[in-house]
Amino acid sequence: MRELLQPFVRFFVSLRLTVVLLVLSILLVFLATLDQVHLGVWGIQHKWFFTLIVVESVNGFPLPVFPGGYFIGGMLLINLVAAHVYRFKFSWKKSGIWLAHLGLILLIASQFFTGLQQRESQVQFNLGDTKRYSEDFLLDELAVIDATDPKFDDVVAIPETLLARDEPIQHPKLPFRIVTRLYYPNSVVQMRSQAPNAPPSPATMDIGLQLAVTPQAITYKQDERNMPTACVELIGPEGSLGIWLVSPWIEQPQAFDYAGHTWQLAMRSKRYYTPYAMTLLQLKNDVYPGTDIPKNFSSQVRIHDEAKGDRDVLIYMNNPLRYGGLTYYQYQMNKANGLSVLQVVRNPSWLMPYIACALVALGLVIQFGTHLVGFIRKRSVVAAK
Amino acid sequence: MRPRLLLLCAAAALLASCRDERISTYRVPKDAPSPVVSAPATAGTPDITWSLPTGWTTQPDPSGMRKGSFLVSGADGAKADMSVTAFPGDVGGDLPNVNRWRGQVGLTPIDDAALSQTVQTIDAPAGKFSFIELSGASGAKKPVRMLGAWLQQPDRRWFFKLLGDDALVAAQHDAFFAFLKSVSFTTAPAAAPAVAGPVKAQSTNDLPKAPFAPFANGATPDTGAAPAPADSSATPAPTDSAPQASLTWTAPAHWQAKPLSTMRIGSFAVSNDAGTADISIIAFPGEAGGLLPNINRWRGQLGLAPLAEGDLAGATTALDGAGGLHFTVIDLSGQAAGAPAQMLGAILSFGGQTYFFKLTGPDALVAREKSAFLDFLKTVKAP
Repeated sequence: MRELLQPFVRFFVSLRLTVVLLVLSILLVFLATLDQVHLGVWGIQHKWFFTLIVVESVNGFPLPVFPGGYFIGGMLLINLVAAHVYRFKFSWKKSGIWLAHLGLILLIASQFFTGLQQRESQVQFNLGDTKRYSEDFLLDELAVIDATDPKFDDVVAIPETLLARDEPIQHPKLPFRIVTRLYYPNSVVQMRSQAPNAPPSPATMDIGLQLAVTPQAITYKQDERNMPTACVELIGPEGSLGIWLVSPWIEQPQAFDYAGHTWQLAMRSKRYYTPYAMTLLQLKNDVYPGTDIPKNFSSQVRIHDEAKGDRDVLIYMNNPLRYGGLTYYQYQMNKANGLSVLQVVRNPSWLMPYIACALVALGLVIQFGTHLVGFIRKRSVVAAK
Repeated sequence: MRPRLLLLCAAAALLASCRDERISTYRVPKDAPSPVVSAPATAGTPDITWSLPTGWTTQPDPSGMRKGSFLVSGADGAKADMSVTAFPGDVGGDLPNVNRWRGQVGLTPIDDAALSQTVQTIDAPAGKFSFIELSGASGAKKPVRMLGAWLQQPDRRWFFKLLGDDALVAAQHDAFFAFLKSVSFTTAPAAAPAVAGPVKAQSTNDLPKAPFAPFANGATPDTGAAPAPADSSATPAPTDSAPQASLTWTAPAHWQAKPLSTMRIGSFAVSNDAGTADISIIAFPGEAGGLLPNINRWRGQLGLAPLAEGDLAGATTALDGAGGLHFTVIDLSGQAAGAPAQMLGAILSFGGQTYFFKLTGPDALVAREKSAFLDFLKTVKAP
């Protein structure tokens, strides 16, 4: 058994593998950067880095073209750990190298966890607004809301990706199933009065009757966002309830009554609710005196947390708020309209890179320090002679 | 080692593949409406009645946000806009709303201590109104004055705001107070909650996601993109209501339609080797601040000095469109982002709204498109 494992062990502990993987990771970054022209920064992250294999579609046929970020990172991690276990024997003299490598392992692991867990979203509010959720930058969802309760909404949030599949959606909390009749990942929605030549609307209910939809090419630009539109048919046990047109272009949810409940339908940016609420109290846009050059943007917000009580905080450039596992950065502001946008980042492993770098630094200091001390000792002995 | 590698790969694939694919369910408190962009309180809103002071005329409210919308006209074309709005809750309290109003007349925000000194109370049959008077300047440094009052009811807050030329508004004190004192409420049965909303307001040209951005021309501070509306508390998507009342037009074939936004009811682009020019159509209720401030706002966007009232006639041309529509057209050349730029603008007052048509871009391209733009204006039709 041991002999059987030997070739594998030799392969995984070899320095050659390390070099090959490092070259591959350089190539990965280079190729992904080139591909950014086509896919934008969000697209390439998923295509090149958060994947085991990079798949390129050739004439509609998926072809693996390059090892992905997870694969190279994973192999590097295994290589590093294996080399540690089989090559290095622990001694105080080598403790610096040990620490530096431990730091490297932690760095790779932290990137892996960040890739899996990091989530970026935004809170957008006007002065006086209270929000208890942030919205995703890119993802949309179809919210089917049971709004019967006067105080609460019971929400079933269906990711847009499920609407894109040609399969009926059924959920135990919904008394009807949802069938996608039309889906455009990016679209423009206009009033019919502005698009007199538009084909008849597939929607049979509500505002959808008055709207015209024009499909658009999917955008990967960093400063643009896709605006999906879908026509969904709700089908209850006794038959179809109608076809609704849903899109983030439509601001207000569309409401209807069914089975003794009031329902609302809204396609909107995917929401992430927090157990606390935030009110925008004040925003400031300071400029350098005598110029229009912005010096600082700041938002004063009040956090309403039932568990911890109310708290006022000031969020400004380079001074984010860390609260409830989330980090809130001042992101955009339009003072004239009393609007402030905070970027919300969830990254449970945000501390790991700091610890990793500290370990590497400490390891290097010990390693070189030990050598330096030994060298100086040797010289002083020679000098004494 | 191998099984470990396989396990790691499988775990990574599993974790990576199942992200954001699940249907989630949750229970959340109902959203509190926003003070600026939310729909007005409709369900069970008490019916409000008042008697109009002399000289105040009802003007249409294309936004659908207002409970009352009036125009006050004075000598020399002076105008003031009166709005009555209602929102659920206390809309964030006194200070944010007063500071929002202060911002509208170019004043800096104040704190709680200063607030208590500036707010007066007015006893009226409908209740105790809080009253505030603000004087400042519009974007064009024209002196403006605002008389603002609010009335807190258990479940909603009413806002009464008269904003316009300084002297005219100052002369309307008594009329404003008389109006407040004439306000009375009769509770009507609960109406159906507002559904099926307006087409919204967003722009794929905004920074990522700005899905609910109530401004369209970039999220940078004070771009000056929006005209100085008479009442920014009532500036929702212009397509909000009464789509049958909106104008229609036919764009030249070589203009590419762009996504609409909160502000834009029409949006196009035209390009050549020199770059891309942008065509926008926006609408605001009422006078939207008047002709001169808006033209000076446009001049400011090209780095040009503001015009005085007397220069206005010489700087603009009149264009008669279809069906008796009258456009005021202006052709401006200046600098934008360090390059020579040209702007063709047209302002049209129709149906209680002011429409702004604007073509901006590199000077050579805009010059080439001038005739197309003027022809385009002639295709604009009333419904």
